[in-house]
Amino acid sequence: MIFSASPHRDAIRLLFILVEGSSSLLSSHPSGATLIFQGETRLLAFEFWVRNPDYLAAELLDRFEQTGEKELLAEIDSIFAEDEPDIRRIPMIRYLRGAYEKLDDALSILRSRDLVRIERKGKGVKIYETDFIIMPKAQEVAKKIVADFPDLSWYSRRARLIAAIAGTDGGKALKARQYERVQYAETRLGGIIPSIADETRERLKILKNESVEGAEVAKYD
Amino acid sequence: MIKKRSAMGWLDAVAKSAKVAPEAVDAVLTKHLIRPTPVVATPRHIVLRSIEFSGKKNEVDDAGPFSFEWKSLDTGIWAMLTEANLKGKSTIIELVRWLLRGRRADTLQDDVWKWINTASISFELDGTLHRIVVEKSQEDVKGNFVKSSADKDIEIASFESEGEFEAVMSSFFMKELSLHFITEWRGGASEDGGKAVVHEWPSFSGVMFIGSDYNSLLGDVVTAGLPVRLMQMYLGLPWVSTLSSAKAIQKGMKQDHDTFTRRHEQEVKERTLRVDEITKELDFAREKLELTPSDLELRRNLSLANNRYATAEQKARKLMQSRESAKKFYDDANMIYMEDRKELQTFLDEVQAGAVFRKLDPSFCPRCDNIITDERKKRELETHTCSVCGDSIASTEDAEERRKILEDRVAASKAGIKKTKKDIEKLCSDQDHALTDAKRLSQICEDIEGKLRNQFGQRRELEHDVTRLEARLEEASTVTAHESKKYVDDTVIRAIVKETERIVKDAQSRILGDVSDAITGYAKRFGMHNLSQATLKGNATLPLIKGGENTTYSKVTKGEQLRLKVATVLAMLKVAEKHGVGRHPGLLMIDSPGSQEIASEDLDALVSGLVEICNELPHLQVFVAGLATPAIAVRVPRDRTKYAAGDDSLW
Repeated sequence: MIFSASPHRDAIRLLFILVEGSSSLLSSHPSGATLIFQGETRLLAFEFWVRNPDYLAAELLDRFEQTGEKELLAEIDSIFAEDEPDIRRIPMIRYLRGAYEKLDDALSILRSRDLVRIERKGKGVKIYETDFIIMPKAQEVAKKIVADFPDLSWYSRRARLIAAIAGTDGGKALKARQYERVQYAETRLGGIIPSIADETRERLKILKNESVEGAEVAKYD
Repeated sequence: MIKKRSAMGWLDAVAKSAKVAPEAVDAVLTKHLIRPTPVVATPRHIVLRSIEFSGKKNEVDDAGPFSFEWKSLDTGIWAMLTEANLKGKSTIIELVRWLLRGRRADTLQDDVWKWINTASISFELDGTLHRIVVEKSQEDVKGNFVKSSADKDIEIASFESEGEFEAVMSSFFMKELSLHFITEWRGGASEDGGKAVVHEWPSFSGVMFIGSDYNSLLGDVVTAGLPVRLMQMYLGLPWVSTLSSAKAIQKGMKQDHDTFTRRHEQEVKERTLRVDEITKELDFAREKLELTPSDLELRRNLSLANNRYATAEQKARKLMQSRESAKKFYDDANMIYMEDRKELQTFLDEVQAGAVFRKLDPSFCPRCDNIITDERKKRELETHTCSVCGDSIASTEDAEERRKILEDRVAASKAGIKKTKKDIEKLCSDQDHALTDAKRLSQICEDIEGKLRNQFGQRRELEHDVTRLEARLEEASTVTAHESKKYVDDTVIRAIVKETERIVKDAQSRILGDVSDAITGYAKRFGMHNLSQATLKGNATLPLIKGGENTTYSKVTKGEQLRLKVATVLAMLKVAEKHGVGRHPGLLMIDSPGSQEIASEDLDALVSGLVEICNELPHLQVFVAGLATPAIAVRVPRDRTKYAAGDDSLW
């Protein structure tokens, strides 16, 4: 509990990640649940993007460079305009075990309200994969929160954006993408993952200029 | 007796009068060629001994060769009488005149002149016989001048042109008769007009010949000053030449002075214009120089600009530092602002998240996944102990208060940022200004340095201009020393004239009384019985009292003028003989004009008077030419007469 003193907020964040990042269960679940969030690694990857808007912005920039989707730029602009890299940042330690512990606290809040059920697959004490069954109540609660607490709706929107970015990629693939960030990789074991807001902001600026120039060129081609 | 005065005494007197050193007077005399002539002349006597001439008449009734001889002449009266006019009496006088002075007179008729082939006269000068023989061709004259002594002839000179002939005769008589040239200033009408005219023998010899022109009392040249000088000269006065020279120079000087004054006035005018012009130019140059800062001033300006530049630069640097620290402060403030906002956001999230989960009662234990029993839930409501862990769930925190605090903090840090931003903007603008100032001052410094380089030459040039113009102004303002030098000469000349005139007048006044008396006496004897008084004045005028009335020489009849003219010469001769001082040689040739101008009675009276006077003045030799009247014929002895009867000619 170094960086977040609020398990409820962590729980809300997790709730929206789980809801927005879930996919349909292939087979019916005894509890009647229809959605599943697969893999803790994927959850942590989502967590990382929510808690580090600068890394998300960088990812979106990559995406934009690949696809040229204008909506992505709007999202990035918004991230910086709202000073999210500062205000929404919840630093993470690269040592992932700590994160686990934290997730456990928040998850237990969700579990205690029976919003999520955690299923661990494996033999004996070796667990290969942890999946999260999203209870129908969780979807209701999520909807209600967006309606009743506008401040918290940011989590919903953000989780949805990340889900869109992540697509069907698994946690391992997402992590690999996150590791691409040099700064991320360079973070020493146990150190705080540094902000890349400044360089990303700079990248955005350059890219915007280039795109303007490109547009200008296109106009005259 | 005329008191003789030495040249030395005269020089001292002049120097004293002019208040200069005698040497200065000497210098002026030398410069202006004024010679002291203190010598009193002793009378010398010329007596014509013979008159001869020959030639050939053309285009007249009695054309053909002719020859005239008149020998054995002596003192006393001689007459050339014709019964008709134009019978050669004037020619005889004119030829004698020509031979004596070496220059032909205008009155000698051209046709007669052409006829003459040879001419000669002989005369005695104080007993020594001289002979002039001239051969005349159409082109020129040649001949010689011989002095006879004891038993042989000595040639004084020979001549081969009219000019030489004149020079010979002039130098001979000027020397022999102790004559000195007379300088006369002849003024003209023109601005620079006027010039000195030197009279020598041709003019002096005029006193021996009385022609038909009576305008002048003495001599035959009518000019303003000459009769006075001739009178003085023939009275034998000393210093006459000196006086005439000095007076001519004085007049010339006056002329020069007038011209000089005119020129000087013109010069002053021009100089004033020039001075004005130069002054204007100088003022302009000085102003320009004044406007061109001196190097010193420029250096001072440069130093000032350098200081100001340094100050501005320092200020800019300080501002930059301030801006840097402000930026750092801004960054810090921004970080705080962000943190405050983050804290607020976290708080809001937490509060709301808390609210969300408080409404969601736990139904499972997150640890064991067992269902929370109704009993536990009931107990939680009653005891406010968690149905899961058993801890107290009562909220001790006042959320609203906390929110207010956090929001205030955000607002405060936001204001801090805003202010810092403003500060930075101001610092930026100040720094920009300071940099602009520094740049401007640096430019000024460069400009001044450039000016210093350029101006060194420019200012030097201007200074040079001013100096040059000042020198020109001084030169233009200076009056030449020429004037004062002129003044010294002027003073000395004036003193010379004054002193000399005093001497001459002194000597003259004592003589003029005697001369006047003699004139009056002779004129009466020439038949002017009603003349009671003739007074010869120093200015050679002759006021008369005739019949009790005041009149003058110029107002009386021609006949009277002739007699007065003759009387004056004779009077001078008489007084000269009496005092032993004088220059008239005692020869007088009178040509009387035609009967229509001079009454024959007048001539009779004149001749009869002359006959008598000749006896009284033993050295006098008088030739009278005139129309023959019985009276004259009776008065002059036949052997002393050349007579042409009827239409006959004298030669």
